[in-house]
Amino acid sequence: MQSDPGKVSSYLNDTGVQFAGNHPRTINIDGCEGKINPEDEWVFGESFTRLDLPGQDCAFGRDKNSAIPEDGHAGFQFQKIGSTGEKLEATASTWSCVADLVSGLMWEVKTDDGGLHDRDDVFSWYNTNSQNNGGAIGNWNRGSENCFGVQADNSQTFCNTQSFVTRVNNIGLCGYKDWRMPTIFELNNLTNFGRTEPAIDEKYFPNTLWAQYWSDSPHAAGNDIARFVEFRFGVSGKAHKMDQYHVRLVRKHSSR
Amino acid sequence: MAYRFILILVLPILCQHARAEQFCALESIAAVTGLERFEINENVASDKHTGLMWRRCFEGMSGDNCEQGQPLQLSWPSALHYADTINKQNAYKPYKNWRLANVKELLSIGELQCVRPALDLNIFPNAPSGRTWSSSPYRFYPHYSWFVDFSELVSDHIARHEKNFILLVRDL
Repeated sequence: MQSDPGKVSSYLNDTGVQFAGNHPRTINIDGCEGKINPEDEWVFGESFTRLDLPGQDCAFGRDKNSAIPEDGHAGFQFQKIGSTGEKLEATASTWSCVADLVSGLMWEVKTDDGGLHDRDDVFSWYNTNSQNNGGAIGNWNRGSENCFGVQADNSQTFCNTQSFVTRVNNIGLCGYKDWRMPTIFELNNLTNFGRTEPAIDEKYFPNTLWAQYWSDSPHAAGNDIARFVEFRFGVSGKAHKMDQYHVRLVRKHSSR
Repeated sequence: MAYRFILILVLPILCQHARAEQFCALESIAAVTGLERFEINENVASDKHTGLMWRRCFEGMSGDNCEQGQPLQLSWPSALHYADTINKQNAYKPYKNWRLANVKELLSIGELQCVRPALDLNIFPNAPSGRTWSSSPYRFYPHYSWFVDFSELVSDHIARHEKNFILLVRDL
């Protein structure tokens, strides 16, 4: 199933940033007031008529107005989902998916069990939809054994993003069979910029590696490149479709 | 139909002022912004997906098509001061709650179909291609803040004294 290319998450999560930056360095993790230190040589000669730093990220949004720690760090609102789609308590010790109640999406949770959803599996980028693959299908990655269940004579099992989606939907996850690759916007919306190593809420998304995760968003500057978010620091970028990166599948869960 | 085009390597040192032509992969990438999603009202554009209202001109530009002036580039602290001053002077009537966008909000207006800039120029006329400040400081190295580079729509962090472009937003 192809992702909907036009759909930025309808409801943007906040960033997770609940601290202020000072200038030219340090952050204030205790509050949202930033200050300039004009004596610090890292201002590189710039002069200021005022020394406050108002209007930062931390002053606005869900992180500020509606953050409840139990359902996710800062303004994020997550719900653990069990293997048959049942909603679980926040304290559940095992879960298979996470519902993001702000964006209306549901996300695959990776495991450490060597199975289909293992966190270490990597995939090349592959998309046969010529209307949204940027002009080239990418790399089907025949010969790679870097994912669960690969069979040399069955291209549906190759370690590429499109085949992974097919395999997960054949079996189902959390009772659903409409999983797909995320867009770059959806991956960015999941990122927690208030955290690093990894830049995600690990209480809901354990087994997130400090590595690149593919979106299926193509790149207009080249038919051999596509977009990723790396979850060590949350930076988004571009890479060659043949590169093997991690994957976290998504599906639309609720229309808000 | 296969597209063949040259992968252009943009040297960072030239990036901020190069005025290369926008390229849009019309047949192989679906547009994600556009006039069904953004409602234009003279010099503002409202995004139905996110509930945000954006200035259509980057700061420093003016005119019906943002054709006058030069895009302003300020350090992060000066960009924050600038937004506050806009509100105090009521420069963009009737609204007085303009601000810098956080890094997620800034990424959300990106147009995947195009590069240089990765923006719909019908919504943001004459938009510059380059680093644009967000309001989000960076967690890991505390002297950096986040920007979005609209040349190719990527997010990254840079030292706060660096001078980047400014685009203002407000909550609807």
